[in-house]
Amino acid sequence: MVPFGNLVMIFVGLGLMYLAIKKEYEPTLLLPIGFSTILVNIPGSSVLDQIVDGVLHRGVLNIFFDVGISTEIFPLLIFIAIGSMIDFGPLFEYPIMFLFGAAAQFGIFATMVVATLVGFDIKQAASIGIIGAADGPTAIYVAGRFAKELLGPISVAAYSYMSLVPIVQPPVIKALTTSEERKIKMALSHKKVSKTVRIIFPIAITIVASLLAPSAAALIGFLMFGNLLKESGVVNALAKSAQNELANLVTIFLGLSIGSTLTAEKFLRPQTFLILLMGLLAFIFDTAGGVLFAKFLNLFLRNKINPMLGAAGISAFPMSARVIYKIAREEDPTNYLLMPAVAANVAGQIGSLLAGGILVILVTSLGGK
Amino acid sequence: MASGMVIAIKIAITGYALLIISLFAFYVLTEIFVKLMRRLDEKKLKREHIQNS
Repeated sequence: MVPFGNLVMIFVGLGLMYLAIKKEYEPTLLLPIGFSTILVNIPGSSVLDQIVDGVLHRGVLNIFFDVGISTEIFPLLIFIAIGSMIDFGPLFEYPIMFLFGAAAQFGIFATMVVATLVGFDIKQAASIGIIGAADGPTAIYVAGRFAKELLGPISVAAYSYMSLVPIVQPPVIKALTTSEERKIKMALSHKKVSKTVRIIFPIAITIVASLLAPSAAALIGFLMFGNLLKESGVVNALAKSAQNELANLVTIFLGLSIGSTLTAEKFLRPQTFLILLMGLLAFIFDTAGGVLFAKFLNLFLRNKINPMLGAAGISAFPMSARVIYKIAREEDPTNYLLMPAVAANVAGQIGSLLAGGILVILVTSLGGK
Repeated sequence: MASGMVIAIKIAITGYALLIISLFAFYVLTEIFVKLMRRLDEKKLKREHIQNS
Protein backbone atom coordinates (compact mmCIF):
# COMPACT_ATOMS: atom_id res chain seq x y z
CA MET A 1 0.00 0.00 0.00
CA VAL A 2 1.19 3.48 -0.85
CA PRO A 3 0.69 5.84 2.13
CA PHE A 4 -1.69 8.74 1.48
CA GLY A 5 1.06 11.39 1.81
CA ASN A 6 3.23 9.64 -0.77
CA LEU A 7 0.26 9.39 -3.09
CA VAL A 8 -0.31 13.15 -2.76
CA MET A 9 3.36 13.76 -3.54
CA ILE A 10 3.19 11.54 -6.61
CA PHE A 11 0.38 13.81 -7.81
CA VAL A 12 2.52 16.85 -6.95
CA GLY A 13 5.25 15.34 -9.14
CA LEU A 14 2.76 14.76 -11.94
CA GLY A 15 1.54 18.35 -11.50
CA LEU A 16 5.07 19.71 -11.82
CA MET A 17 5.60 17.66 -14.96
CA TYR A 18 2.28 18.90 -16.33
CA LEU A 19 3.40 22.51 -15.76
CA ALA A 20 6.72 21.74 -17.45
CA ILE A 21 5.38 19.86 -20.46
CA LYS A 22 1.98 21.42 -21.10
CA LYS A 23 2.54 24.98 -19.86
CA GLU A 24 6.31 25.08 -20.49
CA TYR A 25 6.94 26.67 -17.06
CA GLU A 26 10.71 26.32 -16.49
CA PRO A 27 10.62 22.84 -18.10
CA THR A 28 14.36 22.22 -17.82
CA LEU A 29 14.08 22.21 -14.04
CA LEU A 30 10.47 21.34 -13.28
CA LEU A 31 10.53 18.20 -15.44
CA PRO A 32 13.44 16.48 -13.63
CA ILE A 33 12.15 17.77 -10.26
CA GLY A 34 8.69 16.38 -10.99
CA PHE A 35 10.03 13.04 -12.14
CA SER A 36 12.30 12.54 -9.15
CA THR A 37 9.42 13.58 -6.86
CA ILE A 38 7.56 10.53 -8.12
CA LEU A 39 10.64 8.31 -7.73
CA VAL A 40 11.33 9.30 -4.12
CA ASN A 41 7.73 8.84 -3.03
CA ILE A 42 7.46 5.22 -4.06
CA PRO A 43 7.74 3.30 -0.78
CA GLY A 44 11.10 1.55 -0.42
CA SER A 45 12.42 3.25 -3.56
CA SER A 46 16.09 2.45 -4.18
CA VAL A 47 16.80 6.04 -5.25
CA LEU A 48 16.85 6.97 -1.55
CA ASP A 49 19.03 5.58 1.25
CA GLN A 50 17.63 2.31 2.61
CA ILE A 51 18.70 0.26 5.59
CA VAL A 52 18.40 -3.41 4.74
CA ASP A 53 19.31 -5.92 7.49
CA GLY A 54 21.08 -3.14 9.36
CA VAL A 55 23.23 -2.25 6.36
CA LEU A 56 22.95 1.17 4.73
CA HIS A 57 22.44 1.05 0.97
CA ARG A 58 23.02 4.49 -0.47
CA GLY A 59 20.35 5.83 -2.80
CA VAL A 60 21.56 7.47 -5.98
CA LEU A 61 19.52 10.66 -5.44
CA ASN A 62 20.87 11.04 -1.90
CA ILE A 63 24.37 10.70 -3.34
CA PHE A 64 23.61 13.35 -5.99
CA PHE A 65 22.32 15.62 -3.22
CA ASP A 66 25.35 15.11 -0.98
CA VAL A 67 27.81 15.58 -3.82
CA GLY A 68 26.14 18.43 -5.65
CA ILE A 69 23.91 20.43 -3.35
CA SER A 70 25.44 20.00 0.11
CA THR A 71 28.82 20.94 -1.34
CA GLU A 72 27.23 23.82 -3.37
CA ILE A 73 28.91 22.48 -6.52
CA PHE A 74 25.82 22.19 -8.76
CA PRO A 75 24.55 25.77 -8.35
CA LEU A 76 28.09 27.09 -8.85
CA LEU A 77 28.57 25.07 -12.04
CA ILE A 78 25.25 26.42 -13.28
CA PHE A 79 26.66 29.92 -12.82
CA ILE A 80 29.54 29.15 -15.19
CA ALA A 81 26.92 28.11 -17.74
CA ILE A 82 24.78 31.22 -17.16
CA GLY A 83 27.84 33.48 -17.34
CA SER A 84 28.82 32.02 -20.68
CA MET A 85 25.38 32.94 -22.03
CA ILE A 86 25.10 36.50 -20.66
CA ASP A 87 25.74 39.53 -22.81
CA PHE A 88 26.62 42.53 -20.65
CA GLY A 89 26.51 44.82 -23.72
CA PRO A 90 23.20 46.53 -22.81
CA LEU A 91 24.55 47.27 -19.32
CA PHE A 92 27.50 49.17 -20.84
CA GLU A 93 24.98 51.32 -22.70
CA TYR A 94 22.90 52.00 -19.57
CA PRO A 95 25.17 51.57 -16.51
CA ILE A 96 22.61 53.38 -14.34
CA MET A 97 20.54 50.19 -14.56
CA PHE A 98 22.96 48.71 -12.03
CA LEU A 99 20.94 50.60 -9.41
CA PHE A 100 17.78 48.72 -10.31
CA GLY A 101 19.70 45.45 -10.07
CA ALA A 102 20.04 46.35 -6.39
CA ALA A 103 16.68 48.03 -5.76
CA ALA A 104 14.65 45.12 -7.10
CA GLN A 105 16.21 42.75 -4.55
CA PHE A 106 14.01 44.45 -1.95
CA GLY A 107 11.79 41.37 -1.80
CA ILE A 108 14.62 39.26 -0.39
CA PHE A 109 15.02 41.43 2.68
CA ALA A 110 11.35 42.33 3.20
CA THR A 111 10.26 38.70 2.92
CA MET A 112 12.96 37.63 5.35
CA VAL A 113 11.44 39.95 7.97
CA VAL A 114 7.93 38.63 7.23
CA ALA A 115 9.19 35.05 7.54
CA THR A 116 10.50 35.71 11.06
CA LEU A 117 7.10 37.23 11.88
CA VAL A 118 5.34 33.97 11.04
CA GLY A 119 7.72 31.94 13.17
CA PHE A 120 10.69 30.85 11.04
CA ASP A 121 14.14 31.18 12.60
CA ILE A 122 16.58 33.65 11.06
CA LYS A 123 18.41 31.12 8.87
CA GLN A 124 15.19 29.65 7.54
CA ALA A 125 13.82 33.18 7.03
CA ALA A 126 16.91 34.20 5.03
CA SER A 127 16.54 31.07 2.90
CA ILE A 128 12.89 31.88 2.24
CA GLY A 129 13.70 35.53 1.52
CA ILE A 130 16.24 34.54 -1.10
CA ILE A 131 13.36 33.27 -3.27
CA GLY A 132 13.07 36.99 -4.03
CA ALA A 133 16.43 36.82 -5.80
CA ALA A 134 14.36 35.36 -8.66
CA ASP A 135 17.39 33.24 -9.29
CA GLY A 136 17.07 29.48 -8.74
CA PRO A 137 20.76 28.61 -8.27
CA THR A 138 21.27 31.45 -5.75
CA ALA A 139 18.20 30.29 -3.82
CA ILE A 140 19.57 26.73 -3.78
CA TYR A 141 23.02 28.00 -2.76
CA VAL A 142 21.72 29.99 0.24
CA ALA A 143 19.02 27.49 1.29
CA GLY A 144 21.52 24.63 0.93
CA ARG A 145 23.76 26.44 3.38
CA PHE A 146 21.18 27.60 5.94
CA ALA A 147 18.05 25.44 5.71
CA LYS A 148 18.54 22.16 3.87
CA GLU A 149 15.23 20.93 5.32
CA LEU A 150 13.38 23.64 3.34
CA LEU A 151 15.33 23.24 0.11
CA GLY A 152 12.55 21.40 -1.74
CA PRO A 153 9.73 23.92 -1.29
CA ILE A 154 12.12 26.87 -1.68
CA SER A 155 13.42 25.56 -5.01
CA VAL A 156 9.94 24.78 -6.28
CA ALA A 157 8.75 28.26 -5.25
CA ALA A 158 11.79 29.99 -6.82
CA TYR A 159 11.46 28.25 -10.18
CA SER A 160 7.66 28.40 -10.29
CA TYR A 161 7.45 32.13 -9.60
CA MET A 162 10.27 32.85 -12.05
CA SER A 163 8.13 31.35 -14.76
CA LEU A 164 5.11 33.27 -13.46
CA VAL A 165 6.84 36.66 -13.76
CA PRO A 166 4.60 37.64 -16.73
CA ILE A 167 1.57 37.11 -14.47
CA VAL A 168 2.95 38.48 -11.17
CA GLN A 169 4.71 41.67 -12.30
CA PRO A 170 2.24 43.55 -14.57
CA PRO A 171 -0.50 44.20 -11.97
CA VAL A 172 2.05 45.47 -9.44
CA ILE A 173 3.72 47.71 -12.03
CA LYS A 174 0.39 49.11 -13.21
CA ALA A 175 -0.77 49.75 -9.66
CA LEU A 176 2.35 51.77 -8.86
CA THR A 177 2.76 53.79 -12.07
CA THR A 178 0.61 56.18 -14.07
CA SER A 179 0.00 55.77 -17.76
CA GLU A 180 2.16 58.87 -18.36
CA GLU A 181 5.05 57.33 -16.45
CA ARG A 182 4.77 54.12 -18.43
CA LYS A 183 5.06 56.13 -21.64
CA ILE A 184 8.43 57.69 -20.73
CA LYS A 185 10.94 56.95 -23.48
CA MET A 186 14.60 56.23 -22.91
CA ALA A 187 17.30 57.75 -25.10
CA LEU A 188 18.71 55.12 -27.42
CA SER A 189 22.43 54.61 -27.40
CA HIS A 190 24.19 53.03 -30.33
CA LYS A 191 27.77 53.27 -29.13
CA LYS A 192 29.51 49.94 -29.19
CA VAL A 193 32.11 48.98 -26.64
CA SER A 194 35.41 47.41 -27.55
CA LYS A 195 36.35 43.80 -26.94
CA THR A 196 38.84 45.00 -24.31
CA VAL A 197 35.97 46.41 -22.22
CA ARG A 198 34.07 43.14 -22.48
CA ILE A 199 37.14 41.18 -21.34
CA ILE A 200 38.14 43.47 -18.49
CA PHE A 201 34.56 43.79 -17.16
CA PRO A 202 34.10 40.24 -15.76
CA ILE A 203 37.58 40.29 -14.23
CA ALA A 204 37.06 43.72 -12.63
CA ILE A 205 33.59 42.84 -11.31
CA THR A 206 34.95 39.63 -9.78
CA ILE A 207 37.72 41.47 -7.96
CA VAL A 208 35.56 44.40 -6.77
CA ALA A 209 32.56 42.25 -5.77
CA SER A 210 34.73 39.70 -3.97
CA LEU A 211 36.46 42.47 -2.04
CA LEU A 212 33.10 43.99 -1.09
CA ALA A 213 31.48 40.67 -0.17
CA PRO A 214 34.01 37.82 0.08
CA SER A 215 31.21 35.32 0.65
CA ALA A 216 29.88 36.19 -2.81
CA ALA A 217 33.26 35.42 -4.41
CA ALA A 218 32.27 31.92 -5.50
CA LEU A 219 28.89 33.00 -6.89
CA ILE A 220 30.15 36.09 -8.75
CA GLY A 221 33.46 34.49 -9.65
CA PHE A 222 31.91 31.48 -11.36
CA LEU A 223 29.39 33.64 -13.22
CA MET A 224 32.10 35.97 -14.43
CA PHE A 225 34.44 33.11 -15.29
CA GLY A 226 31.74 31.77 -17.61
CA ASN A 227 31.39 35.21 -19.15
CA LEU A 228 35.15 35.52 -19.60
CA LEU A 229 35.21 32.18 -21.45
CA LYS A 230 32.75 33.69 -23.92
CA GLU A 231 34.20 37.18 -24.21
CA SER A 232 37.87 36.24 -24.39
CA GLY A 233 37.22 34.67 -27.79
CA VAL A 234 40.15 32.28 -27.41
CA VAL A 235 38.35 29.33 -25.83
CA ASN A 236 35.23 29.08 -27.94
CA ALA A 237 35.05 25.32 -27.46
CA LEU A 238 34.99 25.77 -23.68
CA ALA A 239 32.43 28.57 -23.91
CA LYS A 240 30.18 26.40 -26.08
CA SER A 241 30.60 23.46 -23.70
CA ALA A 242 29.61 25.69 -20.79
CA GLN A 243 26.56 26.95 -22.70
CA ASN A 244 25.41 23.51 -23.79
CA GLU A 245 26.88 20.34 -22.28
CA LEU A 246 27.68 21.76 -18.84
CA ALA A 247 24.38 23.64 -18.56
CA ASN A 248 22.33 20.65 -19.65
CA LEU A 249 24.11 18.02 -17.59
CA VAL A 250 24.19 20.03 -14.37
CA THR A 251 20.55 21.05 -14.84
CA ILE A 252 19.54 17.37 -15.01
CA PHE A 253 21.48 16.50 -11.85
CA LEU A 254 20.34 19.65 -10.06
CA GLY A 255 16.68 18.94 -10.84
CA LEU A 256 16.91 15.30 -9.79
CA SER A 257 18.74 16.24 -6.58
CA ILE A 258 16.15 18.85 -5.60
CA GLY A 259 13.37 16.35 -6.29
CA SER A 260 15.01 14.02 -3.80
CA THR A 261 14.01 16.45 -1.02
CA LEU A 262 10.35 16.41 -2.02
CA THR A 263 9.34 13.47 0.11
CA ALA A 264 5.91 13.44 1.76
CA GLU A 265 7.29 13.91 5.29
CA LYS A 266 9.40 16.90 4.25
CA PHE A 267 6.98 18.59 1.85
CA LEU A 268 3.47 18.00 3.20
CA ARG A 269 3.70 20.46 6.06
CA PRO A 270 1.99 23.80 6.76
CA GLN A 271 5.47 25.37 6.35
CA THR A 272 5.43 24.52 2.66
CA PHE A 273 2.22 26.47 2.07
CA LEU A 274 3.72 29.44 3.94
CA ILE A 275 6.91 29.25 1.87
CA LEU A 276 4.97 29.22 -1.40
CA LEU A 277 2.95 32.20 -0.18
CA MET A 278 6.03 34.12 0.89
CA GLY A 279 7.73 33.36 -2.42
CA LEU A 280 4.89 35.16 -4.15
CA LEU A 281 5.20 38.00 -1.66
CA ALA A 282 8.93 38.23 -2.39
CA PHE A 283 8.32 38.70 -6.11
CA ILE A 284 5.66 41.36 -5.40
CA PHE A 285 8.03 43.20 -3.02
CA ASP A 286 10.84 42.97 -5.61
CA THR A 287 8.70 44.53 -8.30
CA ALA A 288 7.39 47.24 -5.99
CA GLY A 289 10.89 47.98 -4.65
CA GLY A 290 12.32 48.40 -8.14
CA VAL A 291 9.48 50.60 -9.41
CA LEU A 292 9.38 52.82 -6.32
CA PHE A 293 13.16 53.23 -6.37
CA ALA A 294 12.99 54.38 -9.99
CA LYS A 295 10.28 56.87 -9.08
CA PHE A 296 12.45 58.11 -6.22
CA LEU A 297 15.41 58.56 -8.59
CA ASN A 298 13.17 60.52 -10.96
CA LEU A 299 12.73 63.15 -8.24
CA PHE A 300 16.37 64.11 -8.80
CA LEU A 301 16.92 63.35 -12.50
CA ARG A 302 16.46 65.82 -15.33
CA ASN A 303 16.04 63.05 -17.91
CA LYS A 304 13.40 60.87 -16.30
CA ILE A 305 13.69 57.10 -16.31
CA ASN A 306 10.70 54.95 -17.14
CA PRO A 307 9.91 53.59 -13.64
CA MET A 308 8.83 50.23 -15.06
CA LEU A 309 12.52 49.55 -15.68
CA GLY A 310 12.97 49.26 -11.92
CA ALA A 311 10.89 46.09 -12.01
CA ALA A 312 13.24 44.57 -14.59
CA GLY A 313 16.00 44.65 -11.97
CA ILE A 314 15.09 41.15 -10.83
CA SER A 315 17.20 38.26 -11.98
CA ALA A 316 14.50 36.40 -13.93
CA PHE A 317 16.10 36.72 -17.36
CA PRO A 318 14.74 37.44 -19.93
CA MET A 319 11.12 37.18 -18.74
CA SER A 320 11.16 40.38 -16.75
CA ALA A 321 12.72 42.45 -19.57
CA ARG A 322 10.10 41.08 -21.96
CA VAL A 323 7.28 41.99 -19.57
CA ILE A 324 8.46 45.62 -19.36
CA TYR A 325 8.95 45.81 -23.12
CA LYS A 326 5.44 44.48 -23.69
CA ILE A 327 3.73 46.85 -21.25
CA ALA A 328 5.61 49.83 -22.72
CA ARG A 329 4.48 48.88 -26.24
CA GLU A 330 0.89 48.49 -25.04
CA GLU A 331 0.98 52.06 -23.68
CA ASP A 332 2.80 53.50 -26.67
CA PRO A 333 3.62 51.32 -29.69
CA THR A 334 6.58 53.59 -30.54
CA ASN A 335 8.26 53.07 -27.17
CA TYR A 336 11.05 50.48 -27.39
CA LEU A 337 12.31 49.72 -23.91
CA LEU A 338 13.88 46.35 -24.63
CA MET A 339 17.55 47.40 -24.44
CA PRO A 340 17.36 49.28 -21.12
CA ALA A 341 15.07 46.57 -19.72
CA VAL A 342 17.60 43.89 -20.65
CA ALA A 343 20.32 46.05 -19.04
CA ALA A 344 18.32 46.21 -15.79
CA ASN A 345 17.64 42.47 -16.00
CA VAL A 346 21.33 41.66 -16.45
CA ALA A 347 22.17 44.01 -13.55
CA GLY A 348 19.61 42.02 -11.56
CA GLN A 349 21.65 38.87 -12.14
CA ILE A 350 24.70 40.51 -10.60
CA GLY A 351 22.54 42.08 -7.87
CA SER A 352 20.94 38.78 -6.88
CA LEU A 353 24.31 37.06 -6.52
CA LEU A 354 25.69 39.89 -4.46
CA ALA A 355 22.53 39.90 -2.33
CA GLY A 356 23.03 36.17 -1.73
CA GLY A 357 26.62 36.76 -0.66
CA ILE A 358 25.70 39.69 1.59
CA LEU A 359 22.94 37.64 3.18
CA VAL A 360 25.35 34.80 3.90
CA ILE A 361 27.81 37.19 5.61
CA LEU A 362 25.15 39.00 7.65
CA VAL A 363 23.19 35.94 8.74
CA THR A 364 26.40 34.16 9.71
CA SER A 365 27.70 37.11 11.69
CA LEU A 366 24.47 38.53 13.18
CA GLY A 367 22.16 35.53 13.09
CA GLY A 368 23.95 33.54 15.80
CA LYS A 369 24.04 29.75 15.86
CA MET B 1 10.41 35.49 18.03
CA ALA B 2 10.69 39.21 18.82
CA SER B 3 14.48 39.03 19.02
CA GLY B 4 14.53 37.04 15.77
CA MET B 5 12.53 39.77 14.11
CA VAL B 6 14.81 42.50 15.44
CA ILE B 7 17.82 40.64 14.00
CA ALA B 8 15.96 40.15 10.72
CA ILE B 9 15.18 43.86 10.48
CA LYS B 10 18.83 44.69 11.24
CA ILE B 11 20.03 42.28 8.56
CA ALA B 12 17.43 43.53 6.09
CA ILE B 13 18.32 47.21 6.49
CA THR B 14 22.08 46.59 6.51
CA GLY B 15 21.90 44.13 3.63
CA TYR B 16 19.74 46.28 1.39
CA ALA B 17 21.85 49.37 2.09
CA LEU B 18 25.09 47.45 1.38
CA LEU B 19 23.64 46.10 -1.84
CA ILE B 20 22.56 49.52 -3.09
CA ILE B 21 25.94 51.05 -2.17
CA SER B 22 27.79 48.19 -3.89
CA LEU B 23 25.82 48.42 -7.10
CA PHE B 24 26.04 52.21 -7.02
CA ALA B 25 29.83 51.75 -6.92
CA PHE B 26 29.55 49.35 -9.89
CA TYR B 27 27.47 51.93 -11.75
CA VAL B 28 29.98 54.73 -11.21
CA LEU B 29 33.00 52.54 -11.99
CA THR B 30 31.41 51.08 -15.12
CA GLU B 31 30.35 54.53 -16.33
CA ILE B 32 33.91 55.87 -15.88
CA PHE B 33 35.52 52.75 -17.31
CA VAL B 34 33.32 52.59 -20.42
CA LYS B 35 33.75 56.33 -21.12
CA LEU B 36 37.50 56.08 -20.65
CA MET B 37 37.79 53.08 -22.93
CA ARG B 38 35.63 54.72 -25.58
CA ARG B 39 37.85 57.82 -25.48
CA LEU B 40 40.96 55.67 -25.81
CA ASP B 41 39.40 53.77 -28.71
CA GLU B 42 38.52 57.03 -30.45
CA LYS B 43 42.07 58.33 -30.01
CA LYS B 44 43.46 55.08 -31.36
CA LEU B 45 41.16 55.28 -34.38
CA LYS B 46 42.16 58.90 -35.04
CA ARG B 47 45.84 57.99 -34.80
CA GLU B 48 45.36 55.11 -37.22
CA HIS B 49 43.41 57.38 -39.53
CA ILE B 50 46.20 59.99 -39.53
CA GLN B 51 48.87 57.33 -40.14
CA ASN B 52 46.88 55.86 -43.03
CA SER B 53 46.29 59.23 -44.66
